[in-house]
Amino acid sequence: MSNSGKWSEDVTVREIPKARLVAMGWLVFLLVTAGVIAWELQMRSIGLVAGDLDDSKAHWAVERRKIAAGDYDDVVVIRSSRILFDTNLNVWKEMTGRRPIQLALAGTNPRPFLTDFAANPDFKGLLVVGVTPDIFFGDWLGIGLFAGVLDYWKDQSPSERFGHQAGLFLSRHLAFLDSSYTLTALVDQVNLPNRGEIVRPYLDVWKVWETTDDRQTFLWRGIEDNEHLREHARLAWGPFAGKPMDEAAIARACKEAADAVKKIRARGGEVVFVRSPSAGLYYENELHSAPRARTWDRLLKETGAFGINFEDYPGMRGLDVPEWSHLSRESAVKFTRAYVGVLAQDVPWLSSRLRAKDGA
Amino acid sequence: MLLGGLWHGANWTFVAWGGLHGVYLAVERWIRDRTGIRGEPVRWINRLVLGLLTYALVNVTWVFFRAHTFGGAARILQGMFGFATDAEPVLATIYMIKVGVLIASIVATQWLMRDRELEQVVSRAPWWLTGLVCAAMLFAVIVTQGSGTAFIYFQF
Repeated sequence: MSNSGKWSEDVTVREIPKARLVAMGWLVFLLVTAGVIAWELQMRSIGLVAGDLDDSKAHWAVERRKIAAGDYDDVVVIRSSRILFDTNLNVWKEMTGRRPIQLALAGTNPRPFLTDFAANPDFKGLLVVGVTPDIFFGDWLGIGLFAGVLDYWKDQSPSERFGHQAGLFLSRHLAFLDSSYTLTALVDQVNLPNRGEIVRPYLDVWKVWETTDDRQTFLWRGIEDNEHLREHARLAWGPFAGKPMDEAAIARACKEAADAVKKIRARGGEVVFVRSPSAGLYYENELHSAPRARTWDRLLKETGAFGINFEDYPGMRGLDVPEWSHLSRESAVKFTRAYVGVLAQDVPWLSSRLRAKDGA
Repeated sequence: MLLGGLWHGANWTFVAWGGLHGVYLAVERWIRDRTGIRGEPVRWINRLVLGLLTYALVNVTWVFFRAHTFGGAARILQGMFGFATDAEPVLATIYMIKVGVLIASIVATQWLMRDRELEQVVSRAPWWLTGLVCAAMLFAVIVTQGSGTAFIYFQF
C-alpha cells in the first residue's frame, strides 16, 4: 500500500498531488506548443514539406486493395525504388489514359511480387517490372523494411487502418512527421569514430524520397539541393566493389521470372521490364558485377518479354541522376514520357488499349 | 515461472527465460533463509551492488528471450562474458552511447523513486519544474513518433 494512497472498499485510491495542476497544465501546453512550432519550422527549413506522406506498408496496402477490388486501370508497377521514383503517374495517365497502381517498394526484390501476381488468377493486366541488376539477379529476396507486406493488405486490423488515416491527416499539415527525421533518426546521423569496419548507422540510407497520394514518389528535393545529403546518399549505396554476380543466382532469377511471365500471359496479361538509369560509381559497379549480356539480355531472352533499357534510347540517356541511383523530379518526368511512349508503341497489350485522357 | 516463459512464446528458449527467473528467486529465498536477512538493504552501497547484480542477471535472461535457438544464445553469452575474442565489432559508438544514457537514466530514476511515490515527488517539487519535465517528455514523444506496429505483443 502506498504512503499517499488509501483503501476505499476494494479499490486503491491514489490521491491527487497537492500542486498547482492547472498552472502546470498551461505551462506544459505552452512549452510543447512552442517546441513543436519551432521543430516544425526547423524541419521545413531543411526541406521537409507538409503533404509528404512518407511511405509505409499501410500506403501500399491501400493501393493493393484497389487491385483486389478491380478499381484500377489494369496497369501495375512493381520493383524497388528506381521505378518508384522514376515513374510519374500523371504522365502515364496523360499518355495512355491509364493511371498505374504504384506497388514498387524501396529496398525490395521484385521477384516475390512478380510471383505473387503470377499466382493471382484475377490479374490480367500489364505489369511493369523495374530491374535494378544487383537486386533483381541476386539471391536476396527480402522485402526489407516492408516485411510481411504481401499479406498485410489483407490482414491490416481496423485499429491499424484508423491509425493510418490519422497519420495521413496529420502528415498533410505537419512537415516534421517523417520517419527519416525523428529524434532517434537524427541521433543516429551523428558521425562518430567507430571500432573496426563499422559504418552504420551513419551510412544507412537517410531521407531520399517524397511521397504524395497514390504513392506518387519523387526523389526528395533535399538530395538535389544539398550537397552534403547528396554525397551521403551516394556513399550509402556503396560499397561499389561488388563481385561479378553468381551465374546460378542469375539463372534462378531468370527462370523464376520466365515462369511468372508465362502464367500471366496465359491468361491475357502482359509483363514488361524496365531498366532505369543509374550513374557514377553505381553504374560502373553494375557494369562490372552484372554485365548486360549475362543479366538483362538473358532475362529478355528467357522470358520472351519486352524490355526497355535506358542504354538503348537516346531520350533516356543523359538524364539527371543526382545520387547515382534515382532520377531528379524533372528527369523522372522525361524518363516516364520516354519509356511510356515506347511501351505505347511497341507493346500490343498497351497499344491496343490506349484510352483518351479522361479514361474513356 | 516456466509457464510465465511459455506465455511469452512457444519456444524452449522462453522456458529457459522463465526458468532462470525462477532460479534467481529461489536462490534469493535460500540465501535469506540461511542468513536470516530480512527486508531491504539499508546501506546505499549494498543497494547499489545488489541492484547492479540483479540487472546483470536479468540481462542474461534476456539473451534467451531474444535468441531463437540455444546455440544462438550460447554465442551471445560467450560474447557477453569475453570469450568471443576474434569477433568483429558490430555495435556502433552511437548505439553504445544511446544505451549507456538510457541505462544511466533508468538506474537514476529507480534510485530516486525507490522509496518515494510519484505523488509525493510532484507535491514537493516546484510546480514549474514538474511542468518543465512533463513538457520535455511530451515534446520528446511527439518528435520521436515511432511506429505503433513495432509493439512487441503484436507478434502474438
